[in-house]
Amino acid sequence: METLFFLIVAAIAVICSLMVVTNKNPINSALSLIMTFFCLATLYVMLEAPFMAAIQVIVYAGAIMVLIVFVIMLLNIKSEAGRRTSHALFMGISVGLLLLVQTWYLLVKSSLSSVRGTVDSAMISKVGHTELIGKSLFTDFLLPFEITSILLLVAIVGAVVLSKKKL
Amino acid sequence: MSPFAELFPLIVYTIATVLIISGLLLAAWWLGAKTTSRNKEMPYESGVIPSGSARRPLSVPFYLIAIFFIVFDVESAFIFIWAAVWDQLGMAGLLHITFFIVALLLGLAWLWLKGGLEWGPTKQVRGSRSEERGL
Amino acid sequence: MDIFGDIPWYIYFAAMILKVLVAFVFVLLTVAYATYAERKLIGFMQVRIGPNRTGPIGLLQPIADGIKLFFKEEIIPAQASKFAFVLAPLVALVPAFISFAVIPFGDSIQIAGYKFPLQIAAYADKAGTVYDLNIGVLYILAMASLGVYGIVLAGWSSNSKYSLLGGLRASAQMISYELAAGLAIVCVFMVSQSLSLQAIVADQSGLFGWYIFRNPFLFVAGIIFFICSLAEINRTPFDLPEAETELVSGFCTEYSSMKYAMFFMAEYANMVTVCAVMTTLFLGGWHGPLPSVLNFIAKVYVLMFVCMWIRATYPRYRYDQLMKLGWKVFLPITLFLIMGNAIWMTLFK
Repeated sequence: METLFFLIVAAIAVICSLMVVTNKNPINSALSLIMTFFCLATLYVMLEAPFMAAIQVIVYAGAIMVLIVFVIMLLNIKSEAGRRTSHALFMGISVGLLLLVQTWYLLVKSSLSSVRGTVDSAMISKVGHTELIGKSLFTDFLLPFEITSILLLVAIVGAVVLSKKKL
Repeated sequence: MSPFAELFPLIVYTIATVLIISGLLLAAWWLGAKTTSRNKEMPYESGVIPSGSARRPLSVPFYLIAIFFIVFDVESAFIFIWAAVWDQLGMAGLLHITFFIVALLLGLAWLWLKGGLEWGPTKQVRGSRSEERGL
Repeated sequence: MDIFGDIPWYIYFAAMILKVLVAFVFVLLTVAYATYAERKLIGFMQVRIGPNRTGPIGLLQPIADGIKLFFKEEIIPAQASKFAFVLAPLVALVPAFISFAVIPFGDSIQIAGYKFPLQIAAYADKAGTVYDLNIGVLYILAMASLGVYGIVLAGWSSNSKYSLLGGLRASAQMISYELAAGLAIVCVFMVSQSLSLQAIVADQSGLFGWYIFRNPFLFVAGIIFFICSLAEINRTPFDLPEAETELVSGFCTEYSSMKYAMFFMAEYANMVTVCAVMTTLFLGGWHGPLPSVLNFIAKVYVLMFVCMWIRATYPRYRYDQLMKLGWKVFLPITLFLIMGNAIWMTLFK
């Protein structure tokens, strides 16, 4: 039953992400992307990473997509029709195939699939997913965390500098 | 225990809600009158015949708000993580999150001083507008 | 079917369907009668009578309104983006309803040796341990952050100037207040040490166990959360998106028939959800003197009364005042509250 459910969600995710690139209307593409994020969030919950799922929806579907929708509205992008050239199509397909081969290689040939961490399902249900992330973030990954705060500060400054003519 | 058992009712509830609501919409579409006329399909503008497209480019402050929202949303995601384990992390964690929050508060303060949060017509804008008009 | 733990799958399913039905009907009925109650209450507060023609003291008014809206014509403006236009009411209403799925609306009940927690996304195994979505609080925040799309889509797809302005205002307002509301909740799970709503409610037994009375920082956080939630769901005094005096009806200007009713229902369903979340996080959930479900309902209704009372009392904010309040007052205050709460709890353990 879980496998069946996974297959359904995965199929919806794939169909929606195809719609993101094939839709002519940019707002409809954005909507499909939101739906894709939703399916990803569901998959995260299935993988016992509920915190990731929540953040996926809050940050990606809730914040970044709002910005993208705003940008579409700000620039008043019209639906693009017949602007695609066979050149772009060819490049797209070849890059896509290359990535597919790469992913397949990584999954099958490399040691990536055999690496196992210390966190397992029993530990997650005992300690809690958020708590596990919290502990490792504030002990092992402290420096990246503090650098993130500087990065966010830079983002604020950058946005203001770009938008204001006179500071 | 698989998380599926908690997720499943949620999915069922979501699907049921979507189905019922679209059912209501369909029923209303089916039951309602269907007459069309050119005037009916025009956008409403208090009786004035609309001119030009309504899809006007929006002003920059909205766009800025969306960017700031992303920044502070990511920040709050980190604060959620800290708050879930804050007493196990103890004093060290408190110091780190203080640094984090203070950095973001500084950003907010800078934003505030530079007028990134201003919405009303500021003096500067008024001045530049009257310059444009040649006043 | 071992995924449902050690309870038989048919019991799991029966309990699930029953809970889904009960929650759905409760929200739907409350939404229908909240419109009536609001008209009646505001009527009394303004020394009018309010609806009183349909049925005794106007009690059938919501039903009459519903039936009328069913038979109204659906108009889709010629230049609208059809797909987004039809989708918008759905997107506005669904998050409002499904946030309710993680809220525990009563104590667990025992039937035939099995324990059933009264919360949609939860179940108990044979030993009586209750499992629920262990990120319940974040789920509510996530659903709240999706509410913005219904309004943006409605505003954009109508291809009307009023709608666009209303939709834009609404979205900027919602995302601003979402931040402060989210950060106010942080204070709650610093105390509860859990993101699961079952655990949060279980921790609040007794009047002085309610989180809002735990310490001064939580008290302020509770009030800020309620105000921010009002702003997030566009209730008065923050109903800028549908400011009648300037924007006709804001983002739903072009909508008619059931689609218009959907936005109206979304507003009230959001109100029910916000009051339920406020009850669960700050006001002790289902704890209280009455049987558990009744406590919960009573608290939710009192909060909804407060919402209506606020509507009858306060004038609307101006847009720059609104954004100023969100970004320059509530956001810094909530950040300080988190720090203050941490220091308070370290000192008085």
